[in-house]
Amino acid sequence: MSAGPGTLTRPLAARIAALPPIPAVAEAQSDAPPVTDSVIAAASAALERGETHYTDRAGVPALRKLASARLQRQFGVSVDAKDITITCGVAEARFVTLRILLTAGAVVCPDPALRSELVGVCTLIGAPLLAAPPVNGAEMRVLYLSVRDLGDDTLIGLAAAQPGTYVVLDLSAAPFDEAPGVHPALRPGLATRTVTIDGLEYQLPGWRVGWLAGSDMADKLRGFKQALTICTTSVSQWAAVEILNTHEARG
Amino acid sequence: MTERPLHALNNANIPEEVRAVAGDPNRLRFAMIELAAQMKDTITLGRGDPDLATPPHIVAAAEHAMRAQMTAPLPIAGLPELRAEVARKLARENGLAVGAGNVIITTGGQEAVYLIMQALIDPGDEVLVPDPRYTAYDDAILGAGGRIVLVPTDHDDAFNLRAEAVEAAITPRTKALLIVTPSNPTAGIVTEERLRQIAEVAIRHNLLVISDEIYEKFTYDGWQHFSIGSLPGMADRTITLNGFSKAYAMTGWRVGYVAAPEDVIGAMARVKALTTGPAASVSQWAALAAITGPDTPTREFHAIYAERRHLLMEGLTSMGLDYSDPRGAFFLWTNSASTGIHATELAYLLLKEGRVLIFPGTAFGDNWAGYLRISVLQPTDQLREAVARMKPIVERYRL
Repeated sequence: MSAGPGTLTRPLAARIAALPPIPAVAEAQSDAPPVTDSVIAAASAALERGETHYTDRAGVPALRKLASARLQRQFGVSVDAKDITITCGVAEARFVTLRILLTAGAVVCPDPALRSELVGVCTLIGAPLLAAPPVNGAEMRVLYLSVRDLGDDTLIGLAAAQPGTYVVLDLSAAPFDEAPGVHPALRPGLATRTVTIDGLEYQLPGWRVGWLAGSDMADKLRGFKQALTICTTSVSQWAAVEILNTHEARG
Repeated sequence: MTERPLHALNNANIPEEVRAVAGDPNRLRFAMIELAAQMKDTITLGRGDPDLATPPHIVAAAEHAMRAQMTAPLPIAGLPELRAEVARKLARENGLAVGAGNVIITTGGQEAVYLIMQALIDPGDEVLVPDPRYTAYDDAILGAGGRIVLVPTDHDDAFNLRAEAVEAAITPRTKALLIVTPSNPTAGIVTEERLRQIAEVAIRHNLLVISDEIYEKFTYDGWQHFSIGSLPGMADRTITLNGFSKAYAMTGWRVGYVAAPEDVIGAMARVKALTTGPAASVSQWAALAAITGPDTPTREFHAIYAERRHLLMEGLTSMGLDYSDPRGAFFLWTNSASTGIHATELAYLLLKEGRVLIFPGTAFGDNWAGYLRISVLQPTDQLREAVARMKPIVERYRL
């Protein structure tokens, strides 16, 4: 911007320089899997019956129930559908979760691949991102796990022992039909301090459907999502219903 | 307009779920929506969600995109063809000197507001916001560490924005002025004459201007929409926000756009990569069909809203309720102060006893306990029914 005596350009230039560059993974992808005929039919049917308005801000109830059922079937974890919020992709689920949970303290993310995906968000919200718990008294506010971390009982035990620490289990990169370990929410003391993030980044990458489930922060998470995007794209949610219904039918 | 003192909010007349959020405008709106959802046979005149269907040619474009497997993720800033068409539209219709590089496609207009504030506002910066306001802006401004400074507008001026009021609110920390025209909630318009005066203030004080023009297609009685970004000296300091939700009845598709200098767009894109990623591909293909297709549906929507607006105006007059001149958008900003009842209480009584959902003025700022925002987004038979239900309640409770 070149307006005025230069007072606009300096703050803006500095702010732009501080923002992380757009991750390469977020650029256009031409190798997304084809969308199945049944999903296309379900999405078309939704459009034809007029599903083009705002949905419930937390998401289409049918999708939230399916997400709840999925969590129950995969891990034996019970999260009421009312504590599940459908998001515009896993990106929004991550952003909303970290933005709300990180009132102070650091994010600890042991998985290097996942950690690299969180660098941008943590930079934007000003939260330290660490590979291991801090040793000098700094607070581990969020323990951010991938399925590869589910065997690390020490780390999860540490989170359980710290009353102000939340655990986030990010399932977005996990194989869709597997139950890869014991969910942290089943650990005594962690049920209300665990958020599960999941989505259909593989099945519906361009449709932008994810969700976040659980914890005593569910209302605040939903409130911030609503403030950010009001609701998730309606037709995408109905496509997601078809996918999760199909998986449920397979058992 | 006759003034009379309003009684204070009588907490005994409202339930706990409303009382608990009465001081929080965003939560108050959602509490009212949730209460209405639990009732049967409710006429919803609250939310700004058009009841009309997305036009068939737009739905057809989405279905084509799905069948042709054109649903892979798009670039963060949006489908290139859509950005180019948005730029053409803004140049042609709004006089903005922009190209595709000045445009970003967002996941709805709400995200656009958030991205703008994240890209532009530093902690402690002040943003001037006309009062009353759609308080969803608050989250975005406060989330960036900014401060909201209200600029008064008033009924006798049809809630037009005055340059002298803007200038009086400026401090050394003022970074930006937010303009919403046509306005939610007042249905007012900031006229070209006033925008020219405001532009002079913005240039003189080196301010950014954020112009939310999402209701631009809906102006009435000869009033015209005007984009401040088209004025000399304003291109480099104006961020114009618009979308597809209102003009094309596409609220559920979640696709909007912003036009701004390229470095601002670049900053917004970097934030967007972290907040939601690209807007849904199906929605962007649908939006492309909307912006390149016939404008007949939008003109039909306009005619429908105009008729409904007129019907409601007559209905409110028959109840003895005044309203600000509804020059644009699809609301009636109704002065309920003549009843003597606090708007939060009156809105609740209308919902509880009449099953008519209307938002109290307090959902748009603390100063508006004598106002209601009524939307025209229901068929005419429902609007007639709503008026018939409201009238005896207003009469019964008038103090």
